[in-house]
Amino acid sequence: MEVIHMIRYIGKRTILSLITLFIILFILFLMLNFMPGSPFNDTKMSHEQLKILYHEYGLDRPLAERFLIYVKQMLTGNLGVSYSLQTNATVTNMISHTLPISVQIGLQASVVGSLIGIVLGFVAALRKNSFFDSMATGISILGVSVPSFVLALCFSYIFSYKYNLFPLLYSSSEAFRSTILPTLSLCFFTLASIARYSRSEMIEVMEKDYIRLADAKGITRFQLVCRHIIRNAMIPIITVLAPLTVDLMAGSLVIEKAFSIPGMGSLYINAIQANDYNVVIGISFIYSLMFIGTMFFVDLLYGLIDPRIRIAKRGK
Amino acid sequence: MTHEDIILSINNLAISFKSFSGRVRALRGVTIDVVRGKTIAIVGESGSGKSVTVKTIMRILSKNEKIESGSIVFNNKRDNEIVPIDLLKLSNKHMQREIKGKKIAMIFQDPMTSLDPTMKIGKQILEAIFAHKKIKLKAAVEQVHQLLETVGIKNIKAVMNAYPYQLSGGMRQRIVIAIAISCEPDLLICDEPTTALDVTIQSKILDLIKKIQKARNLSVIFITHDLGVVSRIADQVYVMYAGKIVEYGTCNDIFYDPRHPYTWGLLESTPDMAYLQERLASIPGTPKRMIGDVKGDQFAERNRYALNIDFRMEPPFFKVNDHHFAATWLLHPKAPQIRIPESLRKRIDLMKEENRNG
Ligand SMILES: Nc1ncnc2c1ncn2[C@@H]1O[C@H](COP(=O)(O)OP(=O)(O)OP(=O)(O)O)[C@@H](O)[C@H]1O
Ligand SMILES: [Mg+2]
Repeated sequence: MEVIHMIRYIGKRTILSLITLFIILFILFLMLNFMPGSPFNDTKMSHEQLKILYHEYGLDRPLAERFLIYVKQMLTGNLGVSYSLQTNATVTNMISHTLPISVQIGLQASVVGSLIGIVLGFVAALRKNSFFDSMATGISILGVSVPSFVLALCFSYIFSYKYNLFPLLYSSSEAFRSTILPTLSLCFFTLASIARYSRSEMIEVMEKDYIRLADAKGITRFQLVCRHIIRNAMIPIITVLAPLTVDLMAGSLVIEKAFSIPGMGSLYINAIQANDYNVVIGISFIYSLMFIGTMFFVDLLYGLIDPRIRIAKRGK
Repeated sequence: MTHEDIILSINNLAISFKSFSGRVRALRGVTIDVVRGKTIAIVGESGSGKSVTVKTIMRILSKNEKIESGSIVFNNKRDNEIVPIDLLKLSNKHMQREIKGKKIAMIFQDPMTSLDPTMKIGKQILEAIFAHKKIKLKAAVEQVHQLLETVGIKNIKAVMNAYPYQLSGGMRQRIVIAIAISCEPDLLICDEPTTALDVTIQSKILDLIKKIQKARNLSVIFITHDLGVVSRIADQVYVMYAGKIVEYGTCNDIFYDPRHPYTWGLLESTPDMAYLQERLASIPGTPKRMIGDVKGDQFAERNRYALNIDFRMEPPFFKVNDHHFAATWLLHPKAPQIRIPESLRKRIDLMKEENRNG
């Protein structure tokens, strides 16, 4: 019973996600169409030459037609070719070369950020008004208010330039070590917001009647924290994980630039600057996909931990 | 009353809260004796300190709470021997392991919020059992069945597998009661257990508590501001106002021979007692927060019958009979003879009549 409902729910969500993606794609197309400039910004090119190029890539056709062709191609896994960055290289290829390192850093940052953030917040809540609590609050304020690229600069100055512990810029010969500073700079915002949020959630839960009742049973403090407080505090925390992950994606653009990481973020920025339409659309699409995927995943997780939602879904 | 008869005695308990506007003196010397196997009710308006009193017994303290003075002595019965324990002096660990849930259990006001929303009912009851009993899971589950039967739940299997939000308020309060009695406590504290429920369900829950009290010979502290409820359940009544007990006695004493003007006010404003089709009187004004040092009788400002001395000195307890005391200067031999309000007099007479006939 439960499995069937689960599958049905996932199916429904998938269809909704696909529709959302389709709409996003269309809006992207529209926006790029109205953006000034063209992918072929070489001033030496004559009007005639430009016209030929436009014709060659089908850019002279009406917007609707181009959109349909794009979607048709996309369904076969073809995201078009790059116009200017790496002329005629397929976008799929370009993305598949840059995506792994970006995903790696993004995942590292979100895992490190949320885990440390949650632990920090929980311990601060349990020792409310202690020295540790003030310290955690300090870290949170710092992390939320200092932009990631400033952190990136500080970290590189201290750990790479002064003490030479990590490579200053990305180097493929030291792939993992090169990701540590970017991960740290990237995760700090997530870590700080999660710490602050977990602390206040936890404090709120500790004041609840059901915690009083559980405590009145005579269970130990440890049992109370593990079985009741953390579990209930986790529910709202999980909901903020999704938007924070999105923040992380945005932050990765800057961080990749700062550390010269050959990731998708760097490619994205370059493509936008060069008006390389297909690359921009391709990467935006991948970002949207990751975003929607994250929301979906978090939603499922949420259902797993909160029976009210789980059952409500089953009912529908 | 002999020492053995009393299971819990709160002596001169004073508690304050730190707040921005100063020290809030929530309890100002509360003394209450709970007789073993009997039910006492604590009544009083909102803010009079009823919850603070019982929360302190259960050591559910706020961060800004300070125990100024007093003791809470629990006369623990072990192998027919009585061992007095001052609960205020116990360590948290000891309190948790030996007292809470095992000797003293509590039922909270709002069943909608007293159960953990993420845990199945069965598990929540099991947790209470395992907190103090070292038994096999199977035996514990068997106990859960019995408990649920005791509190009048029919479809036991389904309820055990349900989450709190799937149950009604009345059902949830039954579960809370089941949890409270799961380790056979000697003292049960009920802090307005029926206030949040529908009237029809209120009376069922009340009957249930009464039934369990009788069957297990429990001692009960029952908090309410509904005197109608008190008359149904209590053996003894403590009337509380502004962090002090102002009158106490048996149910008969308080209902048929009330002496404190505050008790008069409470009785007059009880709808259950409105046998006559009169408009309900209510006590004028609201209780004030006691911040900093206080002088005189706190009720004086709202008291129609206040004497001059009420504004200067707090009245001591005057004895009405062996079990009935009231803290009001009106009982002083030199006080003017002030009689109970006429409308209340009539009502009490009617009640007496009815009791004689019924
Ligand atoms: N944590 C706290 N901080 C400050 N003051 C408090 C705190 N808890 C209780 N008080 C004060 O203590 C007094 C007594 O509160 P208490 O909750 O015991 O009232 P009550 O008699 O149970 O009322 P009710 O019928 O509304 O439950 C109130 O004046 C309240 O403002
Ligand atoms: Mg209360």
